[in-house]
Amino acid sequence: MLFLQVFANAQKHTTLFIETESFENKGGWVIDQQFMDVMGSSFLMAHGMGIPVADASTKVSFPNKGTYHVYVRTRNWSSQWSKAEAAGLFQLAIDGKPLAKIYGKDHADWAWTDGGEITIANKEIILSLKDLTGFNGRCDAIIFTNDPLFKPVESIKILNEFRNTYFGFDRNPRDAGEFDFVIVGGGLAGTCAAISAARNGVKVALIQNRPLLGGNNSSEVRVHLGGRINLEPYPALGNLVNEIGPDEGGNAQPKSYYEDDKKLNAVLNEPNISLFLNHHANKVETENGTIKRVFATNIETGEKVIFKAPLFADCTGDGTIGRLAGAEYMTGRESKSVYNEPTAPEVGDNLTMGASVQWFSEKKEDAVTFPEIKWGMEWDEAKSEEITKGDWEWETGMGLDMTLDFEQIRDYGMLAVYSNWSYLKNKSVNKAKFANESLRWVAYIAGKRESARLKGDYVLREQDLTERLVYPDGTAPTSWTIDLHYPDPENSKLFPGAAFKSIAKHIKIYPYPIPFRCLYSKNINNLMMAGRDISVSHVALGTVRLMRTCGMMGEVLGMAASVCKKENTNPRGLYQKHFDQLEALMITGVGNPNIPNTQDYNKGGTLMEIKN
Amino acid sequence: MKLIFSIFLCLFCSSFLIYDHQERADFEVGMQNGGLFKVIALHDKHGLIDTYRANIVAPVCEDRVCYDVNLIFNWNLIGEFIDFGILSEEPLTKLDHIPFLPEDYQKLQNILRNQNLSFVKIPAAELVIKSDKPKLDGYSGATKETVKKEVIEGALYTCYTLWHIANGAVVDSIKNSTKSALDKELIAKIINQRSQTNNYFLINHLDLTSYTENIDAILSLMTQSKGYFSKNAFERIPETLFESKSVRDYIISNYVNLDYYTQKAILKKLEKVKHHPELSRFLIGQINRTNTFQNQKLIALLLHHLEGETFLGLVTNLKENSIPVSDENLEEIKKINEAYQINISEIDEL
Repeated sequence: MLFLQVFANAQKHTTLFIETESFENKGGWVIDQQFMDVMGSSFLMAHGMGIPVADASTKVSFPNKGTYHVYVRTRNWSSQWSKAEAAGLFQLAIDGKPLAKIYGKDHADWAWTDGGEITIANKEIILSLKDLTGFNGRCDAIIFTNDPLFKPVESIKILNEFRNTYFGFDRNPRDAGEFDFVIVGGGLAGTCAAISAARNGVKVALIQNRPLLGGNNSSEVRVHLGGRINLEPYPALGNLVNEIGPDEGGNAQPKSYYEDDKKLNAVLNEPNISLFLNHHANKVETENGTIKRVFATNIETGEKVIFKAPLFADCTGDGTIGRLAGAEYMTGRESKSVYNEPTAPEVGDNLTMGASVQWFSEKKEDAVTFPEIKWGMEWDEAKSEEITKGDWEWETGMGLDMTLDFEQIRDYGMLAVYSNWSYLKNKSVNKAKFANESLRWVAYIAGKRESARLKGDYVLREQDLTERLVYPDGTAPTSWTIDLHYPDPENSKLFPGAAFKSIAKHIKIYPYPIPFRCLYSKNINNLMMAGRDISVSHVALGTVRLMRTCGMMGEVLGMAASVCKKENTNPRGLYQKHFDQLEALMITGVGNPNIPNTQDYNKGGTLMEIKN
Repeated sequence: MKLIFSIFLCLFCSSFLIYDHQERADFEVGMQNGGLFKVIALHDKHGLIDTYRANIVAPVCEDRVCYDVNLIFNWNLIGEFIDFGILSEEPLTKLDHIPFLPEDYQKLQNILRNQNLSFVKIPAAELVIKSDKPKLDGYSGATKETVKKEVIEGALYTCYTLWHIANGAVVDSIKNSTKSALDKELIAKIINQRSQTNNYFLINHLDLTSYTENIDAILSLMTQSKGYFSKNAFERIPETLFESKSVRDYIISNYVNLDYYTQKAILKKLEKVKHHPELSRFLIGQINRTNTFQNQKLIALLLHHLEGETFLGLVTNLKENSIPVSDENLEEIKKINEAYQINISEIDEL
């Protein structure tokens, strides 16, 4: 249902506020919620890869016909890199007739574009977004007002208050009910945590801010699973990863490779799980270091939902829940002096690993054109990459803030893809080779590797891994190399300070069981974590971040939740008094052990013991 | 006698080897095509098995064009593929009879030694995506992307067939052959090769008598081992040997330096054997305030192996060091104390 209300002031003026993500018909536009904590809302984006997408439309009811002033919240996303014509342009249309004003070009930041006055001739109209370029034009909200004194606010905080007042979301939050365990984040870690907990008798709410599960392994990001499962000292860990993981490997492959339904159905088959797709958790209430309630916003309707439980898990990858709760966290690279790690830099900095915007093209029977873009990066033969697929190494954002700057990071990734492709198709000396190639898929959900790491009772370090200093509270074994990414020196020469490609440096390790103390927060009593936001140094993150490992951490979290429930304790209490119970559950495992392990892809160069 | 060239990894220099077709085979191994090849064991100057060798003659088809490869394969004592040699007049060829280049031989060498390849696990019929278009990607069908990265272009089936010969049924046959020849000298030779894979072979294939005879050598492997070898080795050592002086002394001298999982494996074995008083005293000494849940494992173990003064020593340690005890262990202590009637009220609960 469209959240559309009439907001009348004392002078009987009317102001209508329309959220585009609530449009009844999205056409070819997609909902993008990745930056809503920064710019205020999810929004619609025309991700057409150079071909204008079908209109999005919705019904709008006006109390009176007449003249209205239009404001559109949008931005010119490409202007930070090019002063030429904007990438993403669109128009509004009323009952199918486009209005003259073109949006998406007037300002670099999210702001209200003044659309001037229009005449509304019917009380019921169909309002449409008409994409003009296919290059990621974006629209957050539209205001129609006949109040001469009305001016839309730019402050995000005040604008959010306005939205909440207007739609009444804060007044009427929906109570999702009582759970034993609330998991935020439906990537592989969160999904496995939910299934594991449910199968161990725990009542779970799983909150995911996309319409599907799998995170980086979903068909929205298309990174294949990596690392090994079924390793000592707990060979049964990973059975669940094997159960729900895709059979076929490969980055940036066709959608079917990622088997979204397999993960979704596995969750839907668990009666103990309540699944909340399209919900972004963005507020946390704590009391004396204990999380009491988590609030989530529906990324399509804007509705607020409240979740209550004695135990929570942050599987967001970004440490979102931990940070909102006041958990201690780490970002960037620690200096050598912090953990005495050989690979750490002498001076700490904010260099995180980046996010990948992968892509690929497919060959058509006939020649296919692609626009010669003016707003792209300057390109030439030396810069051109004569390829038809961009894999993990199309990675951007190192040194930027993976939360605050993420729209810029994702956009720069897309800009590089489009710039290269436009050159290949239109100017390259070898353009004939690419004549029949058609850009089939470019990610708009970027695949993050690193953001915030929440601090636990222990922080895993490089030498724990390389010297194999195992601890009695070991859990999921990590097996990938310590795989740290850096800006590609060649690419950096061509694009000084703005590389969009990366290189990886590897240090091999033996499988290493991650201490349970890395899986719960040091200062938030009832918060566990699984995935890339666990308690590890930047260097140690290089190995634990692989998705099969994250999935196994999830398996452990679900088991731990069942012990916490049974013993009425928190994660630290489990560690101190009941670890033997978790140990027993890890020995048994939670996934189906009878499914053959056919996932032979991307296991990594582990120092494996061959047991002849 | 026939002269052949041998192609060795990295060196890629030819050396002359001798292969005698008439030599007696130690055993024969079947191939998927129904054929057989004979394997002979080669011995060192002390008469101990050194390596295994076989002359492989097998048909290989690349896109419906077939020919017989004729190669010499070499394996080590435990069935790991070492290298291959080719007959000088019968080089390997790729699609359209293009001879292998030096780099192709080198790549094949790497392929045959690699246990982490995906394409070898795919059924042969699924290696290419069938297509009506002729000669796409050099074949009637297109080679799968994942496969392409791992094989020699134009020699997919050569790689596939030879990998399965080099790493197929022959491996178990070689292991069985070596296993049946294991004696003190051969065990010592295997240990001296300082390979973790060899060590795993030993702990998985020694019988009680061999373990008993070689226990000191086996224990010596633990301290230099990596990964989970020591844990796995202790799990394989027969329980009765845990009552021996050798194992007891090793535990007392090295326990504190072993990782948690090895310690756990030792404790598990000790559940089923009689404890020497010296060992009990040692284990009581391992209970300290820095261990948390390891303490409970040790306490539980000791409570089930009460010999002589163990109970008094254990209780004294728990009281003097204020070591908390789990509900289960405390119940057990109370039960046992009915016979001793000592003051246990000062023991802390976990």
